[in-house]
Amino acid sequence: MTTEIVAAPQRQRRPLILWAGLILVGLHVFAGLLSLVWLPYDPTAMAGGRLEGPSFLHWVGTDRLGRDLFTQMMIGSRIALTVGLGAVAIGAAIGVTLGILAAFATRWLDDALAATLDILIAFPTLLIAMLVVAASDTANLWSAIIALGIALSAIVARLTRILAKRVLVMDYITAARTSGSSWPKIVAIHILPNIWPTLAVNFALQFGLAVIAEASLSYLGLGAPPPNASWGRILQEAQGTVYTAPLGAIAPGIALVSLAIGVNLLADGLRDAIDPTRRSR
Amino acid sequence: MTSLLTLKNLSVSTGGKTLIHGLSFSLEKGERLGLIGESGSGKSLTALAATGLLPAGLRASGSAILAGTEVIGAPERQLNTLRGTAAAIVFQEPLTALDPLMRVGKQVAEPLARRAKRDGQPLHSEALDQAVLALLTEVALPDPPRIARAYPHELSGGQRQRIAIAMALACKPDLLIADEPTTALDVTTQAEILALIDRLVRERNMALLFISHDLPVVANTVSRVVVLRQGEAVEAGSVANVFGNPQHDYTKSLLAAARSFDRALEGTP
Amino acid sequence: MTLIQVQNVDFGYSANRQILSDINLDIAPGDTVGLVGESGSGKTTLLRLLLGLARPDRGSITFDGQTLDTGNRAFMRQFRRQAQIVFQDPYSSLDPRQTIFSIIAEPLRSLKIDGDHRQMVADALEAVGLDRDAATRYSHQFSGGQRQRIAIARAIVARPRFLLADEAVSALDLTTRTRIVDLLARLSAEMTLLFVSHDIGVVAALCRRIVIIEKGRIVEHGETAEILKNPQHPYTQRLLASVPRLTVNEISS
Repeated sequence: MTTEIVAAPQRQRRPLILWAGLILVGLHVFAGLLSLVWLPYDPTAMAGGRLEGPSFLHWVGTDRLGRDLFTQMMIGSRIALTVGLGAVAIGAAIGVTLGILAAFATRWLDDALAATLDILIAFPTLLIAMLVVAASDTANLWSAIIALGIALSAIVARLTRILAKRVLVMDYITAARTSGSSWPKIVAIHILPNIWPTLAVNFALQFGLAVIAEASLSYLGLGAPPPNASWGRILQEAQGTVYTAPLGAIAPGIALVSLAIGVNLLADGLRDAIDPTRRSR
Repeated sequence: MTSLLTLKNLSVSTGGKTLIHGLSFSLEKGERLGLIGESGSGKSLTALAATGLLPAGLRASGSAILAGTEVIGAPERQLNTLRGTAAAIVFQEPLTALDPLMRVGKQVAEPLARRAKRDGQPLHSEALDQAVLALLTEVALPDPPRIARAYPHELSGGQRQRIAIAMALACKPDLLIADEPTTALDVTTQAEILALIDRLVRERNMALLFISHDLPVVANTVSRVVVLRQGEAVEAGSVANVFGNPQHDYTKSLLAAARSFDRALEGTP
Repeated sequence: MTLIQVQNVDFGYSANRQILSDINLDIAPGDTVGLVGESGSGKTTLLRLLLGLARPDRGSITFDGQTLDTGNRAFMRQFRRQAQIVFQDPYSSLDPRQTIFSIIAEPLRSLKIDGDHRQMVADALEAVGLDRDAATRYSHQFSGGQRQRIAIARAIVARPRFLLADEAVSALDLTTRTRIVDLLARLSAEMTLLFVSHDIGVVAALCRRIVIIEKGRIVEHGETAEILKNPQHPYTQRLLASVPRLTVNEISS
């Protein structure tokens, strides 16, 4: 009772979080979708002078080849969203399945799975991704996405396993069993809905991780090549001129951080909006 | 200032909600008072407010004077001294009240050493160990040397509650607050713990504030009761008066409920 | 005639941890039986065996003359429809993410019971003394006693013959407890009830027969009135002597 009451003042802040997240993510989604059908300039062509500062024609200036940076940023949004969604979808599909199986598994299998996951998690996500990308001979976007998805799945699996085990001991699971519900049905009706809020927040975190990891891969030259460059690639290209034209490095950095924060705020807000136990009476 | 604990118009609120409304009662030295109430009645909050242990977010107003010191608004350091010497609390769930990673002997030793230091006669290793064993013997634990080396999870629920009581006694309090001390226990264990509390309170001449929802337990443990309902005292008086001749409808309904099970046991439904 | 027959049942999670030893128990149709034991007595394990959630190591359990065989799907489906349970903790027994309707209708869906589920849920809610509007809400909007009524509604919605209650009133306030006991007493007129509890007072108020279990063994069983008046086993005597009573105090004061 006490905790519920103490938590009450936070409730009013929740819609604010949801809206902030919606706006931040919305801007990137809008930019990314728009980039499919319309771009201010041809991303491959010279659109102005080299290393121009921000102007009415070039909102964040141009790069060292005179290409419009804002155009590249829009494409970057699309790539970042693709990477984030793709990696999280792959990570979720593999991770949730494995996690649920582990939660139901008999003792030794569960232990073996848990140990494997712990070892996998001990490797940095980026390292695993680099290994996978390096193993595939062409550095393209999808090999990076798959690599990140696999790396993330270990974290998702471990979390899912713990959360599912916590739900499995609840009386309503036993009640469902004595009502004749099959295990798959119990997973679909009781377990997934009850672990989803925590998972969703975790997915958002991993979305941010994946976007940053991909930017790092690109920065290291393992990501998608231009003209479909990600923010990491833009950052790398701007590296040599960071003192003369700092905006080229600052802009992709801001984009990266704003998307990562936006997704986390959105997930936080959505979780509370969806959760019936957090809705006011 | 003869009363050990005096509540005057004590209220506890959070946000816009009042959880305890203007509660007043006093407890003399050596007296036994029962706080009766169901969940949400504010009975546990009353004990926390009286000892300055309210969780963050809850605000107390009015007055609660414990051993001559105003608790409401008192600085934390002053309250710490007060809690260690004037009053000690035994909680419902002994498992969460004990540190799972510390041998119980050490947990009992901690308040013992603190109290001894405060009294100006610090206890050291040998004497402290002896004092711990003496306390464990006093709460009737079998084989005190073995128990002292055990961890909480190695003990039964009843044994853990005895440890919690020993820790409370280590403070040598004038007031023992017992918050549903037997609710998590089996009936046969409950009877033992109640007998233990009864004996200790008598032997050490402590006052007892006994908080419970269980009317028969209260009736057999204290001499005076306050009946709480949704943060308000609806009735107060001696056990014989309140239980024998209840005035408030709520007290009557509680008694009727308790009697129905009593009668069932007598075989006269 | 018996509805449930337990014969020479042993159960243990490992060889050196015997939970139940040589349990024998007959429950007649329509009877109201209280299984009384304290923590660690094995009463909850026995309940799990009776529900077919675990198998005995030795001995047999029959329901309506048929062996309770967890591997026999056709039988288990029939059995699940006829045996339902109410748990102690009204907070963990209802899925917080489902509406009350989904919770109560779960047995109907899982057991593929035909009929108007909406009406059946409304009837069940009414039978436990709740408004039918409750169906659209979530469990956190209800008090402990109301939640327990919802759990009972779920247990009776498929009209089982056998209702098991595991400490079903122990977590409730005193006044709520008497109301839920009254409700169970009313329901027990229509079905066989096995009421498992550590509280012999509640059992005495509700059950016609009592079975006392201690450390995995049944130490005494018989008619409630007989056991209360004349307990034979020392453990039963100690149990009865331990129950605090109002009346004792009133007489003395």
